[in-house]
Order: sequence, then C-alpha cells, then structure tokens
Amino acid sequence: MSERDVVQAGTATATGQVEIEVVAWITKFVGGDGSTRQVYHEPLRDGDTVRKVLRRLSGRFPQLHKALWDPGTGDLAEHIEVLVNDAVLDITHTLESLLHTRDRLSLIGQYLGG
Amino acid sequence: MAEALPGGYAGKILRVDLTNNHLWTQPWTPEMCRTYLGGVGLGAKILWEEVPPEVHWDHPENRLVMATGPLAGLPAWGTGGLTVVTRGALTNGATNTQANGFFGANLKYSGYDAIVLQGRAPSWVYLYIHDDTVELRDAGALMGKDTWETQQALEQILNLTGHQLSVYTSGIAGENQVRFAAIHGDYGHVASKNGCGAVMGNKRLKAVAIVRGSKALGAADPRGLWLAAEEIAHELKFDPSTQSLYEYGTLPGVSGLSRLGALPIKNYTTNVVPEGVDMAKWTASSLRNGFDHRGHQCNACGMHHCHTQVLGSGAHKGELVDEPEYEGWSGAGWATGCTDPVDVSWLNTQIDRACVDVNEFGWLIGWVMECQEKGYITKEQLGGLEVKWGDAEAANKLLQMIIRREGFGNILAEGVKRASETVGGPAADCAIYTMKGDTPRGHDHRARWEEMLDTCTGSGGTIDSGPPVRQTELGQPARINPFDPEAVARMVGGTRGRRQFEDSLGTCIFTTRTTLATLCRVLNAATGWDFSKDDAVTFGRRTATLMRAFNLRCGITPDLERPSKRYGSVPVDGPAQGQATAPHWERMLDVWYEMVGYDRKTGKPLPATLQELGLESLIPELWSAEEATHVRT
Repeated sequence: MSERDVVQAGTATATGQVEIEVVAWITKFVGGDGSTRQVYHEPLRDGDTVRKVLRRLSGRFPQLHKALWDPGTGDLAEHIEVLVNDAVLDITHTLESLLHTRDRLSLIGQYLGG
Repeated sequence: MAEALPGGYAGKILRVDLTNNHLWTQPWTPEMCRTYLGGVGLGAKILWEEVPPEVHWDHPENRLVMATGPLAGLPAWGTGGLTVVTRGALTNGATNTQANGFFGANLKYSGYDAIVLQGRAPSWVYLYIHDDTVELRDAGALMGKDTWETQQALEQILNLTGHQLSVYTSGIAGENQVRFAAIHGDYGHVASKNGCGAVMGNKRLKAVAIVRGSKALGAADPRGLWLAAEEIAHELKFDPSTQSLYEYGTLPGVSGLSRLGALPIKNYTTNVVPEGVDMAKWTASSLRNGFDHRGHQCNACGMHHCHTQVLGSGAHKGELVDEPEYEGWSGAGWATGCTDPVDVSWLNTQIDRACVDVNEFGWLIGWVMECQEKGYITKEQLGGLEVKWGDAEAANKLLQMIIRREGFGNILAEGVKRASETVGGPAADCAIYTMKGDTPRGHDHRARWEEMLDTCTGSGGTIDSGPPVRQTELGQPARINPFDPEAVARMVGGTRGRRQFEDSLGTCIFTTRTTLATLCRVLNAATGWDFSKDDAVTFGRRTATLMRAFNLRCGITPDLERPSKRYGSVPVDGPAQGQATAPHWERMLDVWYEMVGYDRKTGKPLPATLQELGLESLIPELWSAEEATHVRT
C-alpha cells in the first residue's frame, strides 16, 4: 500500500472508531516517554483494514512508521507486536482483516531477552 | 615457520588437572582458532573429544570449560564474555551457558583464551591467575561463603578492588552440588544453566580468581575494528529494534510479555495479572526509577543494561542489590506469585548470592507453593515452613535449606523434575520441566511455542536458537503466527546456528543484536579473516550438531524431547487461552527435524548433514556402514 492510499482512506466518511493503544516503550515513537501508555481513537471508514488504520496512524508519526514497517516489503517489521482485541495478529485478524467499530489495536515492543 | 596467530587471540588454553595439581598451557593453531573460534565452539570440541559416555557429570574426568572468544578484551561493547561448557548435572548432557562481566577480558589480558578444568582436588582450592602466575591455592578461608562474600574475601586476601579482579564461584550451592547450582562472578553475572556450578563444586573448586593481566592483545585491523564496533554501538542506540534494550536491558519484558500471555504467573496456573496489581509499576522505567540505582556495566560496554540498586522500603530497606534481569523478575517474582518489585529484587539477589539458576528456582518454588496450597506437600514435610504465593521471605528460607541440602531442601536440591518425581502423586503433574531434566527460561511458553520447541530440542541445557534476531537475514519471515505449528518449527529450525556463533565470540548477546554480516565485519577486523554470514551460520550449525552428537552418546534420545504435563498444558485463561501444543507436537518435531537435517527416528544428524557441516569424521561414530547406506539423506 502506498502513502497515497493512506491519504485516500483518510478522506472517506467515518463510520465509527477503533482504539489504538500504544504501550510502554513504543510510546517513544509517538512522542511519549517510553513508559505508561497512550491511546488514540482513530476514525473508522468503510473498508478499513488493520493495515489501513495502522498506516494512517504511523503516517502521523515518522518514528513509529520506521519502527513498524519493513521498508523493503511494506509489511510489518519484526520489532513491534500488534494485537487485535488482545490477540496477536494472525490469530483472529490478519493485516488485511476488516476492522469494526470498537475494535482495539495494541502496539507493544518485541521481547528482547536472552 | 609457524603461521602467525590471528588477532584477538591470546593463543593459549590453560589446562588444569585438579587431582594432580598439574597446570600447563596448550597452544592452539591458527587453523584451530578458525575452526572452533572459542566459547561454545571450543567447548563442544573438548566435550566430544575428551568426555566419553561413562564420564557422567559428577565424574572427576568430566571437563569444565570456561572459555572466552576472539572479541573478548577488545574495544567493542560487552566483550567480557564467559562461556561455560560441561556435562551438566540436570540433563547429564552438554551445557552451554554464558555470563559476562570482566572474566573474558581479564583472562585474555593474562594470556589465555580458555581454562579447561579436569579431575577433582584432594581438598577445596581456588584457581589464581595473574599473567604467568597460575596456582591452585587453599580455599579453606572461603568455604561457606556466598558468591558476593567469596569475591569480597578474595579482594581482601589479594588486596585488589574493582575491576582489577574477577572472581567466579559456585557459592554454597556449588559446595553442596545442588543440581541447579550456577557459576557467578563480578557481582551479578551468572552462567546459570544445567548445574554447571554443581560440576565446579564436584571438582572441589571454590572459585576462579583472575587478576586483570598485563599482556598485549591486538586486533588485525584496529581501525576496522573500531569502525565496525562503532557502527554496532550506533545501531544499538538508535535502531528501533534495539533502543529499548540499549536503554533498559531486559526490563521491558515484564509488561510486554504479560500482554501476550507469556509472563508466567503462579507456576502456570493462570495468565491473568492478579487483581490489585498495578502494571504501571512494572514498565521498564518504573522498575528502574523505582530504585536508587547506578550503572554496573560489563567490560567496554556502553549499554544502560546492568545496574545495581538500593532497596528503598520494606524489611531490607537500604540493602544494595543487583537490578534483576527479566528472568529475575519472572523467576523470583511472577512465577512464585510475588508481585512487589522490592521483594522480588531482594529475593533475586539472594538467589544470585546462593548461586542457583533463577529460572529453575522459580519453577521449583512455584511448584512447592502450589503443592502446599493443594495439600500435596505438607507443612511438616517442609520442617514447619509455610510457603504461600508471593512470600519472598519464605522462599528465601527454602532457598537456604536447598543450598545446604537441609531437610526437604535435600529433595528440592535435585531440581524440579527429580523433586516432583520423588514426591509423586498429583504433585508430579504440577511441575514444569522438560523430559531431559532441564527447565524453561522465565516465560510461559504455552504462549511462546517457538521457545518450548527450542527448549525441548536444545542440546545445551537450555534453548539452542533463542528468540529470532534479524531473522529475515536468514530467509525467515519477519513475523509468524505464534500458534501455527509448522511456521513455529520452521522458524526455530531456520534460525539455528546464529546463537552458537554469538556464544563463541566472547561477547554478550545483547551487544551482538545486529546483522550477522556486521558481526562478521567485527570478527574479521579482529582476526584478519574473511568470515562470511554463511560461514557464521555453518559454524553455528556445526557446533550445535556436535553438541547433539555428544548428547546422543550420553543417552539423551528424541523420546525425551517433550514437555512435562504442566509445561505442555493448555492455558486456562489470558491471551493464549485454549491454545494447545500437544496435538501439534509431533508435527512440529517432524518439521524441525527436516529443517535441521537430523534423523527423526534416532535423532542422529544425517550423514549428508554431517558432510555438509564438515563433520564427516562423526559419520562412522554415529552410523554403522549399513545404516549409513540405508538412511534417508
């Protein structure tokens, strides 16, 4: 998906909203301090998928954009876990799944352990 | 004329026969350096060549290898690495476990790349190393001392402070050959897996004390090394994938894993954070800033990872402790239902001072707590002790009983698998372990299938591949469905080799979180070689395969590659609720075996795999001529 698509998605009529929760370290990429959490209420438009909504959010935050997406493939990179309604992506939703009003996305840091 | 030694190497292996108080050095050739690198690469070779099947973990002729690698002591971040390789007490098989601090640098500056210990001293000794002075000295004054006390005592005896002296000891747990005793050094750095400290204790070796040596250590291309090391440092600091590690080490794991159902809570009985626990206190910055703290970096390291801290409240207010790693927060905390960061931090340091593996301890004490709650283990059995969920003081009392093998502590000192088998009945079903005898790291692997498979198939007493790092470089996807059995097995098999390469360099795995190509640049600048990414993977896979061959020779067969009943159970709540590994386990093994090129039935590396990895010499040892012609290659 191109940046142009993001702009087009943003001009459609809102049909509800989804919540995007940015957790702990990932808040650093949206201007936070790397702790606590930040919540965004993103207007939902007809045909909005997980990918489209995340693209719209990351379009406003360049650091998040860099961390979230693989520049080569345009798909999600490995650094951030995406949950939809508390389930890791690919369990109940893929990037192309349609979202519905009151769905909740969460962005949390990949585990960096030994 | 002898070929010149590659840069980065001291060029000698220190050999110590404790039985006969015989010490000598063994040179290693440039070819050996290139083939085995150091760390686990060197250790695997020594295990295979020098530890026959009849030499069990507690046999005097078992080897205890304490190795560094070509980058140890050079000016790149985290280059104080120690790798311990031995036949370990929990699995009675191969062990590969790391600590950092200053061991690797100090040893190299004294002129040695590794220490190989064999035999058993007639009475307790410690090994003193300072340049060409290497002696076994009487350890009478050190007996009964914990890890910190041992280091403090040797600092006084030798009149040295700070980083002038590295002391690695197995503490009181090692003295009593607790099966999950660790090797601890430099106040907070632990090689913890597979009872390597029990092996050290069995040899009546109380400690290894290394004075920072005065020998020169050079890189083949100093400017190239500096540039590559700077590139990695910059990447660690600014790349989105490593910034949190740079800033907070492994602390972010608690809050992140709790959202994935992978934070182990109360011995796998739940995955829901208990009511009343404020997770805002468990973010990385809260954990760090909730204490008066200061940095406690390893050799040449610029990461904001290791810290010491002071307890600001509670019964132990004012005590200096080591900031727990994620594994400490989970093993000394969540696995045992303890959710007060001050209590967890205190208990974690008691565990380090006692010198046992914090993961095994967490599974063991969580199991005791659950069993006492359910009436499977009585207060009387525990000598009148009540051990309730979250009670750090009671957990410490049990810890002290374990390391001295007092009362029921003697049963617990055998580790969770053997202790649960001894108690038997319904208690046995509550214990978390692999059938090989080791235990998982500090997560709930029922929500991390990759790591459960890796733990169960691993040959070093813990994971072999580890969580994927830059896996796209190895042709693996950036992310997979964590509950897709085939994708999981492909990821674990497809990333095999990277970890063994890292564990052979003498560095910390947290400072090698870059591409293999960049790591090779550092290695090549240090040594003057032309190691490629493919060479690195082949090296790692060769080392992992040699460890597996050793384990097969020790009788560790594929039927043991599965989780215990509780370890492989289905989460009853939380984000991974209902996700079951059991129906997929055999299929995961099938795919993994296919990926790594081992025979599914016998577990043996296939002849073609051995050939591809340059291990042709193992074919006649593992396969009869007839088998070799019939086996599917």
